[in-house]
Amino acid sequence: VHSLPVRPHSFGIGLFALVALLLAACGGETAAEPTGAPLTEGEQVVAELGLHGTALGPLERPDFVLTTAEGAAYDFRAETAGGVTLLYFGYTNCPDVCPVHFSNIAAALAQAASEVRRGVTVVFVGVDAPRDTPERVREWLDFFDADFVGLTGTEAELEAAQIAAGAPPAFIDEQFEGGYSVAHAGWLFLYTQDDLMHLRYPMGVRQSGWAHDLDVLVREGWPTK
Amino acid sequence: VADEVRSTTHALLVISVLGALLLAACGGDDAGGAATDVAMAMGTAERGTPTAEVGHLTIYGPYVPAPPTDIAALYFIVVNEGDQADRLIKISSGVAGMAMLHQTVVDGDSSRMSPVEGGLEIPPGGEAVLAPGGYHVMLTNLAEPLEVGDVVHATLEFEDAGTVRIEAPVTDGTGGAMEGMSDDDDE
Repeated sequence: VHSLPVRPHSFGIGLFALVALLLAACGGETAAEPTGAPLTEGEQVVAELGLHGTALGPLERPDFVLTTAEGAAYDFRAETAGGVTLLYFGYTNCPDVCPVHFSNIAAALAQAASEVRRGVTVVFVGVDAPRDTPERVREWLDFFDADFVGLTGTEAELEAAQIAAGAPPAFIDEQFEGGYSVAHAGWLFLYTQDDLMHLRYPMGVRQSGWAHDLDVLVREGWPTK
Repeated sequence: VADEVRSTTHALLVISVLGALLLAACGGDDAGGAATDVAMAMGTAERGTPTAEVGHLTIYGPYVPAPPTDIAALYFIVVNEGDQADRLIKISSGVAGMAMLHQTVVDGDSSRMSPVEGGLEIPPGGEAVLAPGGYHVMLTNLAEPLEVGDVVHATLEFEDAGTVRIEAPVTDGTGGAMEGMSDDDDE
């Protein structure tokens, strides 16, 4: 009788070790994941729904006003409230990551059910004030999807918008070799119907990943606990 | 004893559920680790078709995603089958006023371009991968708009192997590299 509790206990340790081992093996592939740390509520939702974004403590849908490529004032929070919104701070001379993000999102939406397509607003903010003119932002976006919203503003307005969204304000380096360079937020921000950002998306999410996530989030929203 | 067994069973259940959850998180998600994942995934990029050779170097799968404006990026993979390192030191293309080797680097939450000082090394028996989110050749001052189906001619100059001409098709921007960027399960 006395030896009974010992066995299941050591079995428990064995299982624990197994889980730890599997996690260590998995940690090798996703080095940035803090292995062993308990999952946050957001991370659990990401795992349960198979989402491709990275969970973070929810941030409110930001409040800022910029100007559309067509010249109208655009109150981001009021215009997009209650829907699924993708917000990206990029620039039109961006050769590498910006077009890849937008090609994949546009392709995913082009093939999505109309309910999903209508349920997603994609907003691109051109943070390179001197070069991202309304015409150029419109031309850049039309290449991907004419329904995407393009915003411009003065340097002060752009900085205020980025700070409101929790993005590192863009920095333009005019001394860069062969021209200039723009350091800008590397993430795409996603807001859900509850007007919160639970997720942000890194470079490298594929078309199939966007198709899956936008479908799930438009139809079901972010689950409330 | 019954109590102890029950609590142990309960603990086991918690451990297994937690384990399954964490495993699901790591098995099904290619985006979790952000920049690190992208950099790591690029090491596994599919090489595509070998299209040119010079010395011990072979150029695989060059392509240019159709650009929205007059700036484009050229991607390819260089494989070095020799026993000496070589360096990609210069790129030129008739379609672009300027062609420069750059790297997209992620500093915390910010993404920016960085010049590649002294060229890009191709280690012996290894490869150099130019793919979205990492190394790329930036083509600026395009003479004409590039459209899907066009072919971009470029000349690559290596320190030891010399120069080689490549032909890179203009693609629609969603496939190619993105497919090679991560090796997660398809949904």
